Amino acid sequence: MNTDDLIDFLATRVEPVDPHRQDRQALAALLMSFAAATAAVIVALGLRADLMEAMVSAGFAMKIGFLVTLVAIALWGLRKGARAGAADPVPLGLLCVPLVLLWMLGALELARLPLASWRATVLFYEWPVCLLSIPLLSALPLVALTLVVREGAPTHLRYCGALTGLCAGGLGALAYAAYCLNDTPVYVGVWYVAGIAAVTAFGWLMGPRMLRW
Amino acid sequence: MQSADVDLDHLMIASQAGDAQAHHDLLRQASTHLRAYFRRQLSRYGHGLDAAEDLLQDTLLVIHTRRQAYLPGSPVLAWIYGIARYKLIDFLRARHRSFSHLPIEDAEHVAAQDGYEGIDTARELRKALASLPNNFRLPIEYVKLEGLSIAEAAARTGMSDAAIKVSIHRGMKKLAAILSEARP
Repeated sequence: MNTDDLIDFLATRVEPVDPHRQDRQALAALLMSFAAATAAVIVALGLRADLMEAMVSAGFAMKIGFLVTLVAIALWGLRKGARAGAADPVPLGLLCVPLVLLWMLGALELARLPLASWRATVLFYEWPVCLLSIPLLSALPLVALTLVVREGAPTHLRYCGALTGLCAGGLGALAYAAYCLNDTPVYVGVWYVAGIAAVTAFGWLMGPRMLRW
Repeated sequence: MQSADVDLDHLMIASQAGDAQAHHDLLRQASTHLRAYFRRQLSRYGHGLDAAEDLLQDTLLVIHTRRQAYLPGSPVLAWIYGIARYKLIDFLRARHRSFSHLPIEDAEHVAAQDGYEGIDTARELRKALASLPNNFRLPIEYVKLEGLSIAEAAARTGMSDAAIKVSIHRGMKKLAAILSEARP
Protein backbone atom coordinates (compact mmCIF):
# COMPACT_ATOMS: atom_id res chain seq x y z
CA MET A 1 0.00 0.00 0.00
CA ASN A 2 1.50 3.34 -0.85
CA THR A 3 1.63 6.07 1.72
CA ASP A 4 -0.93 8.35 0.09
CA ASP A 5 -3.45 5.51 0.10
CA LEU A 6 -2.66 4.80 3.71
CA ILE A 7 -3.32 8.44 4.60
CA ASP A 8 -6.60 8.43 2.67
CA PHE A 9 -7.53 5.23 4.43
CA LEU A 10 -6.69 6.51 7.90
CA ALA A 11 -8.68 9.69 7.30
CA THR A 12 -11.84 7.86 6.23
CA ARG A 13 -13.05 7.49 9.75
CA VAL A 14 -11.77 9.89 12.34
CA GLU A 15 -13.45 9.42 15.68
CA PRO A 16 -13.17 12.28 18.16
CA VAL A 17 -10.72 11.39 20.92
CA ASP A 18 -10.40 12.82 24.40
CA PRO A 19 -6.86 13.99 25.17
CA HIS A 20 -7.72 14.07 28.87
CA ARG A 21 -8.83 10.47 29.01
CA GLN A 22 -5.36 9.46 30.15
CA ASP A 23 -5.51 11.81 33.13
CA ARG A 24 -8.77 10.26 34.24
CA GLN A 25 -7.41 6.77 33.71
CA ALA A 26 -4.34 7.64 35.77
CA LEU A 27 -6.51 8.98 38.58
CA ALA A 28 -8.71 5.87 38.52
CA ALA A 29 -5.68 3.56 38.48
CA LEU A 30 -4.15 5.51 41.34
CA LEU A 31 -7.24 5.50 43.55
CA MET A 32 -8.23 1.90 42.92
CA SER A 33 -4.76 0.43 43.37
CA PHE A 34 -4.24 2.51 46.50
CA ALA A 35 -7.56 1.32 47.90
CA ALA A 36 -6.57 -2.28 47.14
CA ALA A 37 -3.15 -1.83 48.78
CA THR A 38 -4.79 -0.32 51.87
CA ALA A 39 -7.26 -3.19 52.01
CA ALA A 40 -4.32 -5.60 51.82
CA VAL A 41 -2.70 -3.83 54.79
CA ILE A 42 -5.92 -4.04 56.83
CA VAL A 43 -6.37 -7.75 56.06
CA ALA A 44 -2.76 -8.89 56.31
CA LEU A 45 -1.32 -6.57 58.98
CA GLY A 46 -4.22 -4.73 60.61
CA LEU A 47 -4.55 -1.03 61.32
CA ARG A 48 -2.29 0.54 63.90
CA ALA A 49 -4.07 0.54 67.24
CA ASP A 50 -3.52 4.26 67.85
CA LEU A 51 -4.62 5.37 64.37
CA MET A 52 -7.09 7.97 65.67
CA GLU A 53 -4.57 9.72 67.91
CA ALA A 54 -1.82 9.33 65.32
CA MET A 55 -3.90 11.07 62.67
CA VAL A 56 -3.61 14.36 64.54
CA SER A 57 0.04 13.96 65.56
CA ALA A 58 2.89 15.94 64.02
CA GLY A 59 4.96 12.84 63.27
CA PHE A 60 2.22 11.18 61.28
CA ALA A 61 1.49 14.42 59.39
CA MET A 62 5.21 14.70 58.55
CA LYS A 63 5.28 11.13 57.27
CA ILE A 64 2.15 11.46 55.17
CA GLY A 65 3.22 14.88 53.88
CA PHE A 66 6.58 13.50 52.79
CA LEU A 67 5.02 10.55 50.97
CA VAL A 68 2.31 12.63 49.31
CA THR A 69 4.99 15.07 48.11
CA LEU A 70 6.94 12.24 46.48
CA VAL A 71 3.82 10.89 44.78
CA ALA A 72 2.86 14.38 43.58
CA ILE A 73 6.29 15.06 42.08
CA ALA A 74 6.23 11.67 40.34
CA LEU A 75 2.75 12.27 38.92
CA TRP A 76 3.70 15.74 37.73
CA GLY A 77 6.77 14.37 36.01
CA LEU A 78 4.79 11.58 34.40
CA ARG A 79 2.03 13.83 33.14
CA LYS A 80 4.57 16.00 31.34
CA GLY A 81 7.21 13.43 30.57
CA ALA A 82 5.29 10.30 29.61
CA ARG A 83 4.64 11.51 26.05
CA ALA A 84 6.43 10.97 22.80
CA GLY A 85 9.12 13.56 22.31
CA ALA A 86 8.86 15.12 25.75
CA ALA A 87 12.13 16.39 27.09
CA ASP A 88 12.80 15.35 30.69
CA PRO A 89 10.75 18.29 31.86
CA VAL A 90 10.77 17.89 35.60
CA PRO A 91 14.04 18.53 37.33
CA LEU A 92 14.41 15.41 39.40
CA GLY A 93 16.65 17.36 41.74
CA LEU A 94 13.32 18.60 43.08
CA LEU A 95 13.06 15.25 44.83
CA CYS A 96 15.98 16.26 46.99
CA VAL A 97 13.87 18.94 48.70
CA PRO A 98 11.52 16.63 50.66
CA LEU A 99 14.33 14.11 51.12
CA VAL A 100 16.82 16.59 52.56
CA LEU A 101 14.15 18.14 54.79
CA LEU A 102 13.29 14.72 56.14
CA TRP A 103 16.92 13.81 56.73
CA MET A 104 17.53 17.12 58.48
CA LEU A 105 14.65 16.35 60.84
CA GLY A 106 16.17 12.91 61.34
CA ALA A 107 19.56 14.39 62.13
CA LEU A 108 17.97 16.74 64.67
CA GLU A 109 16.20 13.77 66.24
CA LEU A 110 19.43 11.79 66.53
CA ALA A 111 21.31 14.80 67.86
CA ARG A 112 18.90 14.95 70.80
CA LEU A 113 19.43 11.28 71.64
CA PRO A 114 22.39 9.71 73.40
CA LEU A 115 24.71 7.84 71.08
CA ALA A 116 23.84 4.55 72.78
CA SER A 117 20.21 4.68 71.63
CA TRP A 118 20.92 5.53 67.96
CA ARG A 119 21.12 1.92 67.01
CA ALA A 120 17.74 1.11 68.53
CA THR A 121 16.21 4.19 66.90
CA VAL A 122 17.34 3.26 63.42
CA LEU A 123 16.85 -0.49 63.77
CA PHE A 124 13.35 -0.24 65.22
CA TYR A 125 12.29 -3.88 65.59
CA GLU A 126 9.92 -3.83 62.63
CA TRP A 127 12.26 -2.58 59.94
CA PRO A 128 12.32 -5.85 57.94
CA VAL A 129 8.50 -5.80 57.77
CA CYS A 130 8.64 -2.21 56.51
CA LEU A 131 11.34 -2.92 53.98
CA LEU A 132 9.46 -5.90 52.59
CA SER A 133 5.91 -4.55 52.79
CA ILE A 134 6.43 -1.34 50.85
CA PRO A 135 7.65 -3.03 47.64
CA LEU A 136 4.97 -5.73 47.96
CA LEU A 137 2.22 -3.17 48.44
CA SER A 138 3.60 -1.21 45.49
CA ALA A 139 3.14 -4.09 43.08
CA LEU A 140 -0.49 -3.40 42.25
CA PRO A 141 -0.08 0.39 41.87
CA LEU A 142 2.98 -0.28 39.71
CA VAL A 143 1.06 -2.55 37.35
CA ALA A 144 -1.96 -0.22 37.17
CA LEU A 145 0.15 2.89 36.52
CA THR A 146 2.36 1.11 34.02
CA LEU A 147 -0.67 0.24 31.91
CA VAL A 148 -1.82 3.85 31.89
CA VAL A 149 1.62 5.33 31.23
CA ARG A 150 2.23 2.95 28.34
CA GLU A 151 -1.00 4.11 26.71
CA GLY A 152 0.53 7.55 26.40
CA ALA A 153 3.28 6.25 24.08
CA PRO A 154 6.23 7.49 26.14
CA THR A 155 9.66 7.56 24.54
CA HIS A 156 11.85 8.12 27.60
CA LEU A 157 11.34 4.69 29.04
CA ARG A 158 13.83 4.71 31.89
CA TYR A 159 12.82 8.16 33.10
CA CYS A 160 9.13 7.20 32.98
CA GLY A 161 9.82 3.78 34.50
CA ALA A 162 11.60 5.35 37.45
CA LEU A 163 8.83 7.90 38.01
CA THR A 164 6.19 5.15 37.77
CA GLY A 165 8.16 3.19 40.36
CA LEU A 166 8.49 6.24 42.59
CA CYS A 167 4.76 6.90 42.42
CA ALA A 168 3.90 3.26 43.09
CA GLY A 169 6.45 3.09 45.92
CA GLY A 170 4.95 6.21 47.49
CA LEU A 171 1.44 4.73 47.27
CA GLY A 172 2.65 1.45 48.77
CA ALA A 173 4.29 3.37 51.63
CA LEU A 174 1.11 5.42 52.21
CA ALA A 175 -0.89 2.20 52.50
CA TYR A 176 1.74 0.73 54.84
CA ALA A 177 1.48 3.85 57.01
CA ALA A 178 -2.01 2.70 58.05
CA TYR A 179 -0.29 -0.11 59.95
CA CYS A 180 3.16 1.19 60.84
CA LEU A 181 3.57 2.55 64.38
CA ASN A 182 6.83 4.39 63.85
CA ASP A 183 6.47 8.01 62.73
CA THR A 184 9.98 9.22 63.52
CA PRO A 185 11.90 11.01 60.75
CA VAL A 186 14.89 8.70 61.26
CA TYR A 187 12.85 5.60 60.67
CA VAL A 188 10.93 7.06 57.73
CA GLY A 189 14.12 8.55 56.31
CA VAL A 190 15.88 5.18 56.34
CA TRP A 191 13.37 2.36 55.84
CA TYR A 192 10.52 4.03 53.99
CA VAL A 193 13.01 5.74 51.73
CA ALA A 194 14.83 2.44 51.16
CA GLY A 195 11.59 0.64 50.23
CA ILE A 196 10.51 3.40 47.85
CA ALA A 197 14.00 3.65 46.37
CA ALA A 198 13.92 -0.09 45.64
CA VAL A 199 10.66 0.25 43.71
CA THR A 200 12.00 3.31 41.89
CA ALA A 201 15.17 1.47 40.91
CA PHE A 202 13.07 -1.46 39.72
CA GLY A 203 11.08 0.92 37.53
CA TRP A 204 14.26 2.46 36.14
CA LEU A 205 15.65 -0.98 35.32
CA MET A 206 12.46 -2.40 33.88
CA GLY A 207 11.15 0.75 32.20
CA PRO A 208 12.39 -0.20 28.73
CA ARG A 209 10.60 -3.53 29.02
CA MET A 210 7.41 -2.68 30.85
CA LEU A 211 6.68 0.58 29.05
CA ARG A 212 7.51 -0.29 25.48
CA TRP A 213 4.65 -0.07 23.01
CA MET B 1 8.97 26.63 10.14
CA GLN B 2 7.30 28.52 12.95
CA SER B 3 4.06 29.04 11.02
CA ALA B 4 4.03 25.43 9.79
CA ASP B 5 4.31 24.29 13.37
CA VAL B 6 1.46 26.52 14.52
CA ASP B 7 -0.56 25.17 11.62
CA LEU B 8 0.17 21.61 12.71
CA ASP B 9 -0.96 22.47 16.24
CA HIS B 10 -4.35 23.55 14.90
CA LEU B 11 -4.61 20.50 12.67
CA MET B 12 -3.75 18.18 15.54
CA ILE B 13 -6.37 19.67 17.83
CA ALA B 14 -9.01 19.55 15.07
CA SER B 15 -8.02 15.97 14.35
CA GLN B 16 -8.49 15.06 18.01
CA ALA B 17 -11.95 16.61 17.79
CA GLY B 18 -12.82 14.24 14.93
CA ASP B 19 -12.24 16.50 11.90
CA ALA B 20 -11.35 14.04 9.11
CA GLN B 21 -10.05 16.72 6.73
CA ALA B 22 -7.73 18.14 9.38
CA HIS B 23 -6.57 14.64 10.16
CA HIS B 24 -5.82 14.07 6.49
CA ASP B 25 -3.87 17.33 6.23
CA LEU B 26 -2.00 16.56 9.43
CA LEU B 27 -0.89 13.16 8.16
CA ARG B 28 0.14 14.62 4.80
CA GLN B 29 2.23 17.36 6.37
CA ALA B 30 3.71 14.93 8.85
CA SER B 31 4.60 12.53 6.04
CA THR B 32 6.54 15.25 4.22
CA HIS B 33 8.63 15.95 7.32
CA LEU B 34 9.05 12.31 8.22
CA ARG B 35 9.92 10.97 4.79
CA ALA B 36 12.87 13.34 4.60
CA TYR B 37 13.86 12.50 8.16
CA PHE B 38 13.77 8.71 7.70
CA ARG B 39 15.54 8.82 4.34
CA ARG B 40 18.31 10.96 5.76
CA GLN B 41 18.75 8.82 8.88
CA LEU B 42 18.46 5.43 7.17
CA SER B 43 20.84 6.27 4.36
CA ARG B 44 23.54 6.58 7.01
CA TYR B 45 23.03 2.90 7.84
CA GLY B 46 22.76 1.65 4.28
CA HIS B 47 19.00 1.23 4.18
CA GLY B 48 17.02 2.19 1.11
CA LEU B 49 13.89 4.14 0.32
CA ASP B 50 11.62 1.15 0.98
CA ALA B 51 12.70 0.95 4.60
CA ALA B 52 12.12 4.69 4.95
CA GLU B 53 8.63 4.36 3.51
CA ASP B 54 7.82 1.42 5.84
CA LEU B 55 8.95 3.39 8.87
CA LEU B 56 7.00 6.40 7.65
CA GLN B 57 3.84 4.30 7.42
CA ASP B 58 4.47 2.78 10.84
CA THR B 59 4.83 6.25 12.29
CA LEU B 60 1.70 7.55 10.57
CA LEU B 61 -0.24 4.64 12.02
CA VAL B 62 1.01 5.48 15.50
CA ILE B 63 0.08 9.14 15.03
CA HIS B 64 -3.36 7.93 13.98
CA THR B 65 -4.02 5.32 16.65
CA ARG B 66 -2.41 7.28 19.51
CA ARG B 67 -3.71 10.70 18.68
CA GLN B 68 -5.41 10.95 22.07
CA ALA B 69 -1.96 10.76 23.68
CA TYR B 70 -0.94 14.16 22.31
CA LEU B 71 -1.22 16.77 25.04
CA PRO B 72 -2.95 19.87 23.58
CA GLY B 73 -0.66 22.87 23.75
CA SER B 74 2.59 20.96 23.49
CA PRO B 75 4.58 21.23 20.22
CA VAL B 76 3.16 18.80 17.65
CA LEU B 77 6.38 18.43 15.69
CA ALA B 78 8.27 17.39 18.81
CA TRP B 79 5.58 14.78 19.48
CA ILE B 80 5.71 13.48 15.92
CA TYR B 81 9.50 13.36 15.83
CA GLY B 82 9.50 11.68 19.23
CA ILE B 83 7.43 8.84 17.78
CA ALA B 84 9.56 8.77 14.62
CA ARG B 85 12.82 8.55 16.57
CA TYR B 86 11.39 5.79 18.74
CA LYS B 87 10.40 3.82 15.63
CA LEU B 88 13.76 4.48 14.00
CA ILE B 89 15.72 3.26 17.03
CA ASP B 90 13.51 0.17 17.22
CA PHE B 91 14.17 -0.52 13.57
CA LEU B 92 17.92 -0.05 13.82
CA ARG B 93 18.23 -2.10 16.98
CA ALA B 94 16.32 -4.98 15.44
CA ARG B 95 18.61 -5.01 12.40
CA HIS B 96 21.96 -4.02 13.81
CA ARG B 97 22.39 -6.22 16.86
CA SER B 98 26.09 -5.59 16.90
CA PHE B 99 25.51 -1.91 17.63
CA SER B 100 26.34 -1.45 21.27
CA HIS B 101 25.03 2.08 21.06
CA LEU B 102 23.43 4.27 18.47
CA PRO B 103 24.69 7.72 17.58
CA ILE B 104 21.24 9.13 18.11
CA GLU B 105 20.45 11.38 21.01
CA ASP B 106 18.21 9.75 23.58
CA ALA B 107 19.08 6.31 22.28
CA GLU B 108 19.74 5.16 25.80
CA HIS B 109 16.09 5.70 26.63
CA VAL B 110 15.08 2.89 24.34
CA ALA B 111 16.81 -0.23 25.52
CA ALA B 112 17.71 -3.15 23.33
CA GLN B 113 15.24 -5.98 23.42
CA ASP B 114 16.77 -9.40 22.95
CA GLY B 115 14.71 -11.37 20.48
CA TYR B 116 12.52 -8.41 19.79
CA GLU B 117 10.63 -8.76 16.53
CA GLY B 118 10.06 -5.43 14.83
CA ILE B 119 6.38 -4.64 14.75
CA ASP B 120 5.44 -4.04 11.15
CA THR B 121 2.24 -2.07 11.37
CA ALA B 122 1.82 -1.87 7.63
CA ARG B 123 1.87 -5.65 7.66
CA GLU B 124 -0.78 -5.57 10.39
CA LEU B 125 -2.92 -3.51 8.08
CA ARG B 126 -2.56 -6.03 5.28
CA LYS B 127 -3.33 -8.82 7.75
CA ALA B 128 -6.45 -7.00 8.94
CA LEU B 129 -7.54 -6.54 5.34
CA ALA B 130 -6.98 -10.24 4.63
CA SER B 131 -9.21 -11.15 7.56
CA LEU B 132 -12.22 -9.39 6.03
CA PRO B 133 -14.77 -11.43 4.07
CA ASN B 134 -14.38 -11.18 0.30
CA ASN B 135 -17.42 -8.97 -0.23
CA PHE B 136 -15.70 -6.27 1.89
CA ARG B 137 -12.10 -7.00 1.05
CA LEU B 138 -12.29 -7.10 -2.75
CA PRO B 139 -14.03 -3.74 -3.25
CA ILE B 140 -11.46 -2.10 -0.95
CA GLU B 141 -8.55 -3.75 -2.72
CA TYR B 142 -9.85 -2.88 -6.18
CA VAL B 143 -10.86 0.71 -5.51
CA LYS B 144 -8.57 1.88 -2.71
CA LEU B 145 -5.41 -0.06 -3.49
CA GLU B 146 -5.52 -0.76 -7.21
CA GLY B 147 -7.27 2.49 -8.06
CA LEU B 148 -10.10 1.03 -10.13
CA SER B 149 -13.26 3.07 -10.50
CA ILE B 150 -16.45 2.03 -8.74
CA ALA B 151 -17.90 0.85 -12.06
CA GLU B 152 -14.83 -1.24 -12.90
CA ALA B 153 -14.85 -2.83 -9.46
CA ALA B 154 -18.56 -3.53 -9.85
CA ALA B 155 -17.95 -5.22 -13.19
CA ARG B 156 -15.12 -7.29 -11.80
CA THR B 157 -17.00 -8.49 -8.72
CA GLY B 158 -20.45 -8.74 -10.28
CA MET B 159 -21.83 -6.43 -7.57
CA SER B 160 -23.85 -3.28 -8.20
CA ASP B 161 -22.22 0.17 -7.96
CA ALA B 162 -24.21 0.95 -4.84
CA ALA B 163 -23.20 -2.34 -3.24
CA ILE B 164 -19.52 -1.56 -3.93
CA LYS B 165 -19.81 1.82 -2.23
CA VAL B 166 -21.59 0.35 0.76
CA SER B 167 -19.04 -2.47 1.01
CA ILE B 168 -16.13 -0.05 0.95
CA HIS B 169 -17.72 2.17 3.54
CA ARG B 170 -18.55 -0.69 5.89
CA GLY B 171 -15.29 -2.51 5.20
CA MET B 172 -13.28 0.58 6.11
CA LYS B 173 -15.17 0.83 9.39
CA LYS B 174 -14.43 -2.83 10.13
CA LEU B 175 -10.76 -2.32 9.31
CA ALA B 176 -10.52 0.70 11.56
CA ALA B 177 -12.16 -1.31 14.34
CA ILE B 178 -9.76 -4.24 13.86
CA LEU B 179 -6.77 -1.90 13.86
CA SER B 180 -7.77 -0.06 16.98
CA GLU B 181 -8.27 -3.40 18.77
CA ALA B 182 -4.99 -4.79 17.52
CA ARG B 183 -3.14 -1.87 19.10
CA PRO B 184 -0.90 -3.38 21.77
